[in-house]
Amino acid sequence: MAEIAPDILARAQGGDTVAFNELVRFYRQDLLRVTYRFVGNYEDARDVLQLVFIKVYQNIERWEPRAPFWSWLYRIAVNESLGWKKREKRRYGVVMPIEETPYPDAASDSASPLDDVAREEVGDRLTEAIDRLPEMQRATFVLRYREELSVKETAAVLGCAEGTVKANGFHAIRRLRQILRTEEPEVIPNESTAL
Amino acid sequence: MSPLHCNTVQEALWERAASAGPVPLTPTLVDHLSTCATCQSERRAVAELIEASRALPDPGPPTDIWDGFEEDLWDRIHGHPLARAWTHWGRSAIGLAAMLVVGFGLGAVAMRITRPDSNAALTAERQARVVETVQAELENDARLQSYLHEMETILVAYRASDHDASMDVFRRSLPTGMVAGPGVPPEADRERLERQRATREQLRSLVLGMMVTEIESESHGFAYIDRRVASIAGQQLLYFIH
Repeated sequence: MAEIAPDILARAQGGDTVAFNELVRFYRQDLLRVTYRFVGNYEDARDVLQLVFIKVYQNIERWEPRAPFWSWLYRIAVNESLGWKKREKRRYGVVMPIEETPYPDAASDSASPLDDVAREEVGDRLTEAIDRLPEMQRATFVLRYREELSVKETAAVLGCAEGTVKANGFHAIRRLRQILRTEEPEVIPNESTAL
Repeated sequence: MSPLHCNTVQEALWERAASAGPVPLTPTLVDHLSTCATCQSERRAVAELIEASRALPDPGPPTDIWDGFEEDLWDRIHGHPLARAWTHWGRSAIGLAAMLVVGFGLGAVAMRITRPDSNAALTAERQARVVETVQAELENDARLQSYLHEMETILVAYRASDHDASMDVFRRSLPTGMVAGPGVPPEADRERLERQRATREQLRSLVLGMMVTEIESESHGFAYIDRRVASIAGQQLLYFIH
């Protein structure tokens, strides 16, 4: 993971707003991707990202280089995203649906338009299933399998032990399999349909 | 078919998928997988699940997503109730208030233990034994010394802070009938503060006693003691206020 130059970071910690702007520009793309993966649409992801940077601004002087700076930022992004999801659930009772989007990379590889539709359906169902995971399992799963962080990196972001990451990953996979097997047998074929 | 149960094999497959790197399958698992169609299917399904998750679509942000982003951010930062300039002062104020609340709680605990029924529970002999044991056990324990020092500082701070202007803010926020620091307290409060001071040593013994109990049982660390003291302090604080 790329890290911003230490002198810019130090200046931002000292209250230099120019340096803080540089920091925002340096990390915003990566952090937007993280917030998007939790909230499901770019409009809200941008909003959550603003909250992330407000929190960073308020607390940057307290950051200590015991862990990489990016992992601290990721942790704030994950927490703010989960907090946003919670508030949305409280407000509306349901999670906002993921935005309808084309599949730029997948589409080019697919054999036919039918494949595109099938992949899109799989993606939607899987996204909904991930959304139904408990918070820590969802955070672990997104970081491990969507952000493709290692177990060690995920542990640094979530501020827990590597064993906890593995356990949450295990429970997330088990739960996803249960959800998909019972509700969407065509997504991941279970034994009765496969045989 | 191997004697392994399918549930065991499938749990192993999920665990394997959640692990840090590629984990080789044990011969027993390989044996089971080679003959069990259900587990073979589950193995494929887990692999597809991970693959599908990695391949979930990300359309990329709209091209105008960063338009005005920094301007909006600074507007929100300056309009935010917890802007940085405020938080620096705010954190100090909250820290001070928290210390005082804990102080009151501990003071209240001290008051409770001076009552005759409490004294009966914690006899002077027991206290002496406890203190002696702990001091022998933990003579050089920096954590203990720091803990006791902090606790005493909080209690003593009531008096030391008498001339600290920042304490006025706190005093004004106290519920009726309470006082932070002696100032010119009414008679009843003065009496109460005298009792606090007189029982400070007993409070010290109480905490030492709790530590001894924990050390003897060897079931918890100091973190647990901290929580328990905080919990008792909180309960006693409510009693003290009401």
